[in-house]
Amino acid sequence: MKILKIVLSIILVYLLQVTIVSRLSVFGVKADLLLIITTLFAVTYGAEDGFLMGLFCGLVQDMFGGSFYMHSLSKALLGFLMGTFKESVFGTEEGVALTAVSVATITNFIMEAIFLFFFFGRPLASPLTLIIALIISCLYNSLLAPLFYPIVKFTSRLVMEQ
Amino acid sequence: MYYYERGRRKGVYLWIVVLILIVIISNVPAVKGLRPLRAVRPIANNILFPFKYVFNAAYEGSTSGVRYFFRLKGIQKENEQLKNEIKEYKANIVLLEGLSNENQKLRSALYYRAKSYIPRLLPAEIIGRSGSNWFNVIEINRGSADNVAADSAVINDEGLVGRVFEVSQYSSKVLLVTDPSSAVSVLDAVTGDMGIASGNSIGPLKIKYLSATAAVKVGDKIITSGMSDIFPKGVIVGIVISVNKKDYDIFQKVDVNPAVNFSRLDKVFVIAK
Repeated sequence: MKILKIVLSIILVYLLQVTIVSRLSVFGVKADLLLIITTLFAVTYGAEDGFLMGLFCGLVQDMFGGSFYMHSLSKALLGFLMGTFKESVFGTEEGVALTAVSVATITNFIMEAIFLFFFFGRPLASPLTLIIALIISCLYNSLLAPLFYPIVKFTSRLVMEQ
Repeated sequence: MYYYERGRRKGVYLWIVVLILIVIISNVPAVKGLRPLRAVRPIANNILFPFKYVFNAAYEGSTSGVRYFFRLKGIQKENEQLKNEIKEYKANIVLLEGLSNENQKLRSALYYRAKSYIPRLLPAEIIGRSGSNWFNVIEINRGSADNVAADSAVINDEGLVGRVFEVSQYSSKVLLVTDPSSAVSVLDAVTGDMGIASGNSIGPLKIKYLSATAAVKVGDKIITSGMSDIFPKGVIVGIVISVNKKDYDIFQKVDVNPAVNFSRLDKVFVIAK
């Protein structure tokens, strides 16, 4: 039941991402709600739960669109890394947790670029475009994170403690 | 408790290794066609289709209300302008019909066998966009039920949008020309020089393999060449915004501003095969 609730919430966030958030791009760069949620969940609940959340988010992304298994792997790794960093680097302060979203965006960007280029042989945009896109998405995701932090905390508390 | 935590961490490491193996194995050419998610995806997209439609309609409803409020002021002026444009288009149609008749007469006089190609345009609405910054993909509300096939070209009133690459029953996914993996055979409408236009995620399109001797200039119109079976000839792709020619290069680098405004894209036409 708990898993079903989590999966349904992720699908809802995915729907928001592909229908509304993807239209609100800044210079062509979109915010990544699933990345924000994976990161906030990981820094709140730790590496193992962050890994599972990332895996579910990535699977939903891979199942409905995008590319095969890339998001499952990158988001699961991201959840695990952010959860691990939380214990050693970020601490538990809310403000510090939000900087984790910037770090997560950079980490995810590098991981996905590597997977896409080396595993999938996909051509990437020019290096300058990639750097600009990374800076914009980093700022965009970090600005959106404060909106989602209370929602993630509230809903995950409801789901986890039931 | 400590051993329980250590056990869970070990489980996570195991899962990471399994995931990496799945990604590597799924990219081995012999196994590519067996990817299980490929079989699940059309079904999954059919399930989500009505929800995407509702979310999209809700967003459209709320934003069009706001837009209407701000545009109310200039609407009379716009109406007048549009009426004048329609008159101009009607006059152009009469002129073009005359030219078409003349063209046909001349062709028959020359016993010229023209390709009888009249494209059928299927209007479609955008119900979703790729959530990832790596893929420039949109989802439209037309699928195999509307006879949409993979590799159909997609255009709008401004120019070339992209091509259909994945078809579900009620929806299809379109790879935009701005995607780095997209490649369109194009030519300069002024000089006739040919090249391959590919995307760069954000920003202008790049034209590759354009000969260094080609006399392409800033402001030239770039259109599809019709060399592939996917895109018909003559659809506008964009306008040249920069030309970078070096003495020692075989090819020159040309940047093209896409004719289509992808951030405001809402309605498109699929060219049915």
